[in-house]
This record gives sequence, structure tokens and C-alpha cells, in this order.
Amino acid sequence: MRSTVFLLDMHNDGEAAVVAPHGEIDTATVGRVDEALERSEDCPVVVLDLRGVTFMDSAGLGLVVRHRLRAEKYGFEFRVVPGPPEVQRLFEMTGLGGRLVWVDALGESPTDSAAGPG
Amino acid sequence: MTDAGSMRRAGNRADVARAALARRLPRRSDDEARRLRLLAGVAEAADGQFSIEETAQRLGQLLVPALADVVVFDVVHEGALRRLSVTASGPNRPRVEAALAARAPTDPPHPGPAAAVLRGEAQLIAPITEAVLRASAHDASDFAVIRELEIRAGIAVPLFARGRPLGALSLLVTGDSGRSFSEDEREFVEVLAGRVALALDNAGLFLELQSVEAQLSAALGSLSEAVTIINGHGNLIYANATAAHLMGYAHPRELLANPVDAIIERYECFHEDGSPVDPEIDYPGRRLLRGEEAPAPLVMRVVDRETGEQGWRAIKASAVRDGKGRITMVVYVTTDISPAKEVERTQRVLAAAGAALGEPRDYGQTLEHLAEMCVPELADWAAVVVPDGHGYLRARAVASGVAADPDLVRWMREDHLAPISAPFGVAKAFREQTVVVSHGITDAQLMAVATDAADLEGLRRLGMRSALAIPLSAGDAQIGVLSLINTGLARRFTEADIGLAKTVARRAAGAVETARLYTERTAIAATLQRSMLPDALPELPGWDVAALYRPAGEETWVGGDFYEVMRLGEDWLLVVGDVTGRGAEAAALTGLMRYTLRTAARLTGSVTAALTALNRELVDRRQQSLCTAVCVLLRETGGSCVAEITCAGHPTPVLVHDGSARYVGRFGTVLGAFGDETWTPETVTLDPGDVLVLYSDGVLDTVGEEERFGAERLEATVQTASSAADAVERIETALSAFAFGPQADDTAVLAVSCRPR
Repeated sequence: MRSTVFLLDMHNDGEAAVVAPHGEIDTATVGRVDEALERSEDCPVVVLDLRGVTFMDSAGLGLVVRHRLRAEKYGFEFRVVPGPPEVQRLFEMTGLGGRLVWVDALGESPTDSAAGPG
Repeated sequence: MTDAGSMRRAGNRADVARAALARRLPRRSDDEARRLRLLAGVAEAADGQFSIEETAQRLGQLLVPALADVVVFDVVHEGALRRLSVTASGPNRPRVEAALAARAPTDPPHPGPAAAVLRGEAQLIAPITEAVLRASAHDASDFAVIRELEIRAGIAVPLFARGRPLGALSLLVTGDSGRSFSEDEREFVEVLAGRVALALDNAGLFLELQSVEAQLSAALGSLSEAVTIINGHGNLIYANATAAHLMGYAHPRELLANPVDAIIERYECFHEDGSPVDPEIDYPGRRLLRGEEAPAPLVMRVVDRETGEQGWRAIKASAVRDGKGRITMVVYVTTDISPAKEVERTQRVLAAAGAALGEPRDYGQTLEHLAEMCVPELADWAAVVVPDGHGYLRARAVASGVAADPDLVRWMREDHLAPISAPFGVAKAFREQTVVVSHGITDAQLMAVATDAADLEGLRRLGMRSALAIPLSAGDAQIGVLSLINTGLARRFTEADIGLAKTVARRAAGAVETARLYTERTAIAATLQRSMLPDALPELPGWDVAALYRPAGEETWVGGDFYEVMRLGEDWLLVVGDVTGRGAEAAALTGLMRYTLRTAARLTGSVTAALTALNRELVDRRQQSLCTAVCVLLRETGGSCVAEITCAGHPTPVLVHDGSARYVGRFGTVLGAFGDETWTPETVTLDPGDVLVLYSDGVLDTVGEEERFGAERLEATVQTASSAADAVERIETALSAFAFGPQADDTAVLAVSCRPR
């Protein structure tokens, strides 16, 4: 059976807030991630860690676009830790890979290696 | 006073004294005759037909003056002696009796009745001197009183029966009689005392019996169940206070004054299923009389014909039989179970309301359910009336809890109209948004609301006696009125009925409004969804086109997927698109996307220009509006078919060529995210027989038991497709076989194949 358990890890040290969803991001779960990210916006750096995400559809895509645009608007930094290949394929397919700041697991050193060919 | 052991010993001692006396009796013949008469008299008084007080009186009259001038009986009562009777003789009788009756017995250890009972033996005090009196007196005034009585001597004998002390018998000699007591006299008195004790004991038993009856009667009287007893002749012979109150009488006397039939006639009774109760057949007492051993209790709803009050009763009956087993009495125990029934009814009606109104339904169905759940629990008839737009309220739902004439139901449902301007009833409830209760509806009122002669006839046939009209409104929406009607009987609407009906109406109003919106939305959704798709795929010369559209979930959920086939100049444009989100908003966005794309493509003649225009429009929207699309422009140039593929955030199409499949086209940025995007098409050549499959992500994301359908499975599914229609059919079959659980997303597939030529 596919696992449909969804968990949300949050970490906030005042400098950087990390939101790490585990499971599938779809219409059923996207609201929780969205809310967590919005609550993290008082930090100068907000990191969405996708390593635990097993599936993402256009709902997750909308989420990433939204927070990418909010970061621009409200002046914080929005970084994304790449997820597994299935998730990264969505960024590739939608051309969003090149529009995001990708970071490694530590959430500190910007890379663009995960942006993929898109 | 004393312990039980010494009492038993005292009793034995009296028996011994009796035996001693028996030995001596023949010696003194005069006295013997007198004493035997006394003993016979006492035995006569011992037959137990009188109360203990009366027996003491009779014994006193027997012994005075034959044996003494004054006889006093004291009885043991709650651990002390209580004076029972005083019998005196002579001119001073009233004074002596009054004085001694009022006096408490002399306390032990001074000789007297108390000492006699305590010690278990007779006390002979002779002579009673002034010193004895002074010692015996309770106080100075008591001394003055007893001194005045001139008591010269006395014998106090304990009275025992069945081993327990009953009291004491005291025989006194006063100043003017000149008699005295000897030791011999004391022994006789002891024997006599045995008989006296027996007489008093019998009287006491009788008294106890009476008191058992009195206690039973008191117990029945204080029961919260109503108890009535009917004798073998069918007459009501007993009713307790609860029975009287239950039937509206202040006292059982008033109830007993009525014949049984009149009492039964006063109520209209119904079984729990609403069918009428026939007292002759159904009453458990009648069933007992017909020979049933233990008839089940009868639970029934009773309506008082006089007051219209309604209640619930549980009636049990048991038979009292004579020695030959014939029924002499039937005891009815009736319990007022109205409060429990009321709670039960409330729960049942609300549970029914919850079940019936909980799920989204069609508007008309919801109204029918509302009417049905009100009968027969709340009323005989229930109707939901709504304004018809022409100044009348018309029934949209009718339910009858009584066996109603179908013609009457049809009339109510189809013909009856109530003018909204009418001064009362449903019209008033609707106009003023207030609950209207009408009792004792008159013919004049019917005439006032009837729209014509036929309507008046219907109203009269309905026989409406009382009515309850409750407005149904949700928010600002005035839906109509829940109309509850009682016919035939005198059943009135109680406060409980009105409260419950209001609760049901309040809950129903929300559901009715939801149902109305739901029905409306279903219609809108169906319209929208139809508008999202081409009415029919157009004929494309040289091409075969096939499509599949599977919306997720119920039809009311307008999906975000669409496909489109349109002419663009000499070419054909095929589009499969997807907007994020669901519901009405997604539908609106889908509409915007489709028509903007179509218009921009026609105006510019360019797919990429159309995408750029659409992207701008989407980015400028206040709400985030992300869309993806795959656009394929089909053109024929110089005998070969070419497909220009542009993807905007959309999965790339699959090209089936010669038994193998591959993804073609390049990824492009999603629409509506960033304003400065551009898109570049990729061109592929299609050979005759090639199939190009466009699809939405719903295909790849279809959930299976273990994993999602995915790109590889799609490739494998279509790689042997021989035509557009074949490819679509294979995908549909594969998805149906693969899918596990409810479909989460819309699915759109559009396939095109280049016709061999």
C-alpha cells in the first residue's frame, strides 16, 4: 500500500525557518504547508525542505510559486531543498526550477545544481 | 423497661401461679363462682372483634365493681407505659377516671404497673399509706391529686402474651368500698391477667390487621403509579390519588363517582404505531377476563377529548382471584410515561432529521423528507409550502400520518393554494416570519383563506382542528413555511410539540437552503462542464482525433481540465489544459483560459503569442491563477504532417511511432506565475499511422494500489496503439484497471493520428 501519512516538521531559530513536509503534497495537504510557510515569514530566511516529499501535484506547484512571489514582495529569502526525482521532475516540467533558490540540506549554501535541466 | 429474658421468666411464673390457683379453686365456692364468671366474661371479650381500646373498656366494665373499685389498663408503647383506659365506679367516677387517665404511671422502683411489667410479677400494695403515696407521686401536685382519690390498696399485674409484655392491669380499692386485697386475690388476678392479656393481644392482632390494610392503602395512595381496582361487576372500586390526578380529578372520590365507561370514553387512545386502541380488545384487564394469563402492558398515546391534552400511558393489569380461581378484581397500574416518551420522541425526530437532512439532496427531496419526518410524531399532517411567485403559498411536499384519502392528499399537494395576504395561518407565519399556533379553527376562518368553492370543500374535508405554522428561513432566504395540521381529534399542539417542531424547522431550513443551492449548483456545474468541452470533436480532414474526459468525484465538482480542437488559419490547434484548484473558481479560470487562448490564437495566429497574452492576463489577476497547457499545431506542408508542440508547465505528449512510444516536446514554464515568460515550440514530423497523445497530469498521477500510474506506464500503454481512438481506449482501460480508490483528479486525453494516405 502507498503510504498516505503526512507529517510536517518545523524548525525556527530566528535566523532561518525550515518547513519540511513528509508525504504527499496535494490539495488535501497543501494548506498545512502553506500555513506553516506563512507563519515562518518573520524569519529573514524561509526554507522549504522537499526531501521528505513523495509526490507533488499542481497544488504544490502553486504553493511554491506563491511563496516565491511573497518573498519578492515582502523582502525575505525563500529557499528550497530539492526533493526526490519525481518531485524535481515537476519543477523541470513547469519551468520553475530556474526561478527558485535551491540550497543543500543544511539550508545555507545556495547551489543551483538541483535546478535540473528545465 | 426490662430485657426479654426476664419477661419470659415472668410469663412462666404466671403459668405456675395459674396452676397453683387451679388446685385451690374447689375450696371457696362463692368466690369460685364469681371468679369463673369473670374469667368467662374476659374470654368473651377476647374474641378480637374490637379494637384494643374498646376491649380494655369492656374488660374494665366487667371487672368494676366486681373485682375492684377502679381498673386501669396501661400498654407498652415505644418502650414505656401508656395509659389505655381507666374504669371507676361510685359517685366520684368521672373525677377519678379523669384524674387517673391523665396521670402517668408511677415510676419504678415504687410499686405500680411499671414495676410490675419491669419485674414480671404482680405488685400488691396494701395498705396504701400517705407515705406510700408521697413516695409514688411524681411531684407535689401529683401527690395532691392522688391523695384526693383516697386509694387504699392496689394490685398491679403484668400482662404477657406470646412471651412479650403487653402492659399492666391495675386494680385499685378506694376509700368508701371497704374491700381489701389478699394474697389469694393477687393470685386470681394473675390468672385473670393471663386471659386479659390474651383478649388484648387478640384485639392488638386485629388492630395490626387493620393497620396492614391501612398501611397498604396508604402505600397505594402514595404510589407515583396510578392504581385503580375494578371489581367483578366492572365497577371502579378503588383509585389512588395519582390515578385521580392523572385523570384530572382533585380527589379519588370524584373519580370513583364516574362510571368506568365514561372514564374510558373521555380519551381517544392510540397504539404506538398510530392505530386506534379498542378498550374492549386491547386493555390488559379485558384480556385477563378473556382468559389470558399475563397480558403484556399496553403502551398508548391518549388524547383527552375535552382538553386536547396528549400524553403517554403504560397500563398493566393483574387479577385478584377467589379460591376457585375466578377473577374477583382487576388491579390496574397506570404509569404516566409522557416525559420518557417525550424525550424518546425528541431524540427520534431529531435523529430522523439528522439522517434525512444530513446528506446533500435534491431540493424537492429534502422538502419531502422534512414533511415525512413530522408525521405522526408531531402532527397528523405536515406540508411544506413555498411561495409560488404569484402571491400564493403552494405545497411542495405533503405527508399524512393518518390514513388519508388519496384524493385529499392530491388536492393538498396540487390544488390547494394559500394567499400570502391571508390574515392567519401559514400566510401570517410567512409574512411576519413568526410561529403561528391556531387552535379551534372555525369554518369562518376556512372561508377566509379558501381561494374558491372547491378549495373550501377541500379544507372542510381535511377537518383541520388545530394548526402550527413555522417559517423556514436560512439567513436572509425565506424558503417557506412548515405547516403542521391536526385533524379529526382534539389533539392540541403542546409546548413540547412547538419547541420540537421549531428545532426541526431550524435544522431543516439550513438543509433546504443547502439543497436549493446544491440543486442550483448541480445545474450550473453541469452547464459549466458542458461548456468546458467541445460539443463534438470536429472533423479534421486527414486526421483522426479522439478524446477522453473523466472528471474527478461528483458531477458538481467542475474540474480544471479541458481539451479543445480549433481551426487556426489553414491549421488545426489541439489543446489540453489544466488549471490548479477545483470547484467554481477553477471553472471560472478554465473558462478564462480557454477563451483567452482561443481569442488570442485567432487574433495573433501564433500559439506562443497566445500563450504570452494568456500568461499576462493570468499574472495580472488578483488571485494566483496557475494554468498549464500543451498546444499542438497540426499542419500539412508538402505532403508531410508536422506537429508544433508547445508545453507551458504541462507534461509533454507521447508520440507513438511504429510500435514504440516516446515523449516529444520541451518543457516550458507554467502559465500565470511570472509575467516575463516566453515559450518556444518544438516541431516533430508525423508519419501516417503515427499517434500523438496529449493528456493532463491526472493520467500520470492516477493512484494505484502501490504507486501512481506514471510516465513509463503511459508509454507502455500506448506504444502499440494503432489509431487515436485506439490510444484513448487503451488509456481508459489501463486507468480503470490501475486506479485504486476514488479518482482524485480530472483526467483529459486528446489523441490525434495522421491518416494513412
